Parts: sequence; C-alpha cells; structure tokens
Amino acid sequence: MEKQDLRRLNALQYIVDTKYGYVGELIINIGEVFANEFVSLGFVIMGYTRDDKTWRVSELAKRYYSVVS
Amino acid sequence: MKCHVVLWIPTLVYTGFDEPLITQVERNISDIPEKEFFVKLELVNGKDFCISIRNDDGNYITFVELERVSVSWNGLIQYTYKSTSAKEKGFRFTTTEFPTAIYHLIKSFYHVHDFHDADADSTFRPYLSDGKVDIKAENNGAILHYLRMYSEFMSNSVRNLQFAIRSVRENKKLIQPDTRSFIQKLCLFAKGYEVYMGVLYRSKYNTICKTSSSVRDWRHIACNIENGMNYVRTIEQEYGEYNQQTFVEDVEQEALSSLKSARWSIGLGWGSVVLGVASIVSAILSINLANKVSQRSSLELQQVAGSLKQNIGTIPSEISIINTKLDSLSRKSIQSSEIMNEIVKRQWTIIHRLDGKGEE
Repeated sequence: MEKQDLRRLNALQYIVDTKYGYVGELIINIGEVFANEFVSLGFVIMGYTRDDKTWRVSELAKRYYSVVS
Repeated sequence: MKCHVVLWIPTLVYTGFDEPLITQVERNISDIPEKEFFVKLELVNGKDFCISIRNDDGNYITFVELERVSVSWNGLIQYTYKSTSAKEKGFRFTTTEFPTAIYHLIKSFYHVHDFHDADADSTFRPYLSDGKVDIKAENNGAILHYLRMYSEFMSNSVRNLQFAIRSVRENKKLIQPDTRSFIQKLCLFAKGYEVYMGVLYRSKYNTICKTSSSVRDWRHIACNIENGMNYVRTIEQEYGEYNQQTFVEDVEQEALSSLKSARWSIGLGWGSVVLGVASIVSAILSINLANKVSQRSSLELQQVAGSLKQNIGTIPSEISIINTKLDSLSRKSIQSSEIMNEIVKRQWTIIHRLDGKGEE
C-alpha cells in the first residue's frame, strides 16, 4: 500500500475508532487536510458545544472504512 | 456589527423559498454525549430565523436573529445578523464564523436529502461577507465560493473512490455483493451532488467557472468538476460491467465446482454400488463356504459321536473287569495282612522264648 493510502487509512481508522470529540484534537491527530476532506465528504459531521467545536463520525464513514480496511 | 451570510440550498425548481417544509426545529448539536447543547430554530414571518439556545435551567433564550435579505432561483439565500458570541471559541456568529450545524438545520427547512441519508450530508462552508452581496450579479462572490466547494467535493470524491477500488481489489472484496452495492452508493452520492450543483454551475450568473474560461484558476476548477463527474460515471459503468462479469464468472465458477463435486459424488456413488455388489457376492460365497464347512464338520461330529458311542458302550464291561481285579486285589491284600499278623505274632513268641531262657 502507498504511503498516502496508508495515511488515509490511518485517518479513517482514527475517526471510526474515536467516534467523536473536539475538532482541535481531530486536526492534531489526522491533520487539517484529511479533516477538511472528511467534512466535505460527509464522513465527519461538525457540531458545537457552548464552548467549542465538536465532531462525530457518520455511518457513511463507518461503512466506507469497513470496505477499504 | 452587521454580518452577511449567503447559504446555498440545493434546489431544482425555483420556489422563492416561500413554502418551507417545516417551521421549527429543535436539536442537540453537540457531539459530546456528556455536554449536550440544544438549539431551536423558528421561522419568523415565513422567511427570517430566530435561533435560541437552551440554558441549564431548560429555558430557551434568543441567541441570534437571521433576517432574510435576498434569494436567487439557483438556490442562494442571503441573511444578515448581528455578530454574537457565547464564548470565544465555541458557538458564535461573526464575520468569520457561521456554525455549519445551523447551516445544515436551515437546509432542512427547504431541502429533502434524495441521494443520501441526512446524516451523511456533505458540509460546505457558508459564504460570509462584511457587506451585502449581490447574489444576482455575474460571478458574484457567493456563487463562485460554492462552485469552489463543489470542485473540492468532486476532487475528494474521486480520490476516495479510487482509494476504495484499490483497497477492494487488493483485498479481493469485489466478489461480495454488499461491497459492490456500496461502491455504487458512493457513485450515486457524487452524482446526486451533480444534480443540484449543476444548477449553480450552469447558472447564468456563472460565466467564469467554465472549461473554456480565460482565467486559468477557474478553468482548472471547472475541469476538476467536469472530469470528476466523468470519472464517477465511468467508474459506475465499468464497475457495473466488472461486477456483472465478475458475477457471471463467479456463477460459472460455482457451477463448475458444483459439477465437479457432482461428478465426484456420482463416481463415489458408483463405487459404493460396486462395493455393495461385491459385498453381497462375498457374503453369498461366505455363506456357501460356511455351509460346506458346517456340513463337513457335522459329518465329522457324527463320526466322532459314533466312535464315542462305541467307546461308551465298552465302558461298563471294562468297569466290571476293573471291579473284578479290584476284588482280587483286596482279597490278596487281606491275605497279606493276615500273613503279616502271623509273622508278627511268631516274632513276639520267639522274643518271649528268648527272654525266658536268659533269665534261667
């Protein structure tokens, strides 16, 4: 598997395993490029608490990960 | 401070957004289970929005009001609002921040998700501006912003489709029906966006984002959009044919292996029949042999029985001979013992006589 593919797979694994969290931590763990990509594809859904931006993994992402892993 | 936001609502037919699907929605928009954050959106005067947040005491307080400024037939709605912020990092409406969760909720007032689950909706960043935007002007900032978002979405879709197909081929998962259907679902997801984004892309207000544009950056963006969609359609077609071919090959393979198994089974069956017949023949032969042996044995037994009978017949006469001899023996034994007694008597007599002479 190519390096970029491996990075993508690891990023997918992170969001599927972690399930939800704060956006700041997400960007630290998978990088801004993958974070933006997953948001634009509907793999990651953005939310809010009063204090911070949040994220959660979508069913589409879980299904996608099960296919590619 | 007054801010402006232009939201793109996927539409096919110009409606003016005068007939919303719902008039109110209440939702927890936090993804952290232990930190719920409820917001309520209410349609005011049929076009404006009042956005409230729920406090710890359970009551809703108005947080921000969106006032509709203008709409265009290609799906753009412009709102204005006053900059409002609960906390520095969190939920806020400013010139640089408009919560995408609220954008998604506003969309639900006017749009039904046809080609995907509501949960799997792609999130475009809202277009924000310091001042009012003329959304009916040629190549206005809002329409170009969303076309750029569309191009990013197409590039990301292509990248992830390619990755998915590579992974599936490596892992040999193509033969599984649910994998096939999921790849097709990804293609449908992208094609669904083409249906709605095509309205913006072909809008008369878009003259710069074309594959023939003289502006290089916009020419590239337009190429990304069109090439991306061509790729998705080709993958869907090829994958459909590949799947059909693979499916047919799979069926043929299964049929062949079933035929092989059937042949083996038939062979084994015939083998069993032959073995069965051989067993029967062997049993018959064994029975015949056993019969012959038993006949011979019976003959021999009869002979033995006959000689035994003869022998048994002679036994009484021999017993009487033995008895006679025993009688004679016992008579002789008595005679012997009488003789012995006489001898002993005569010896004592001699001994007594000798003792008498000695005393004299």
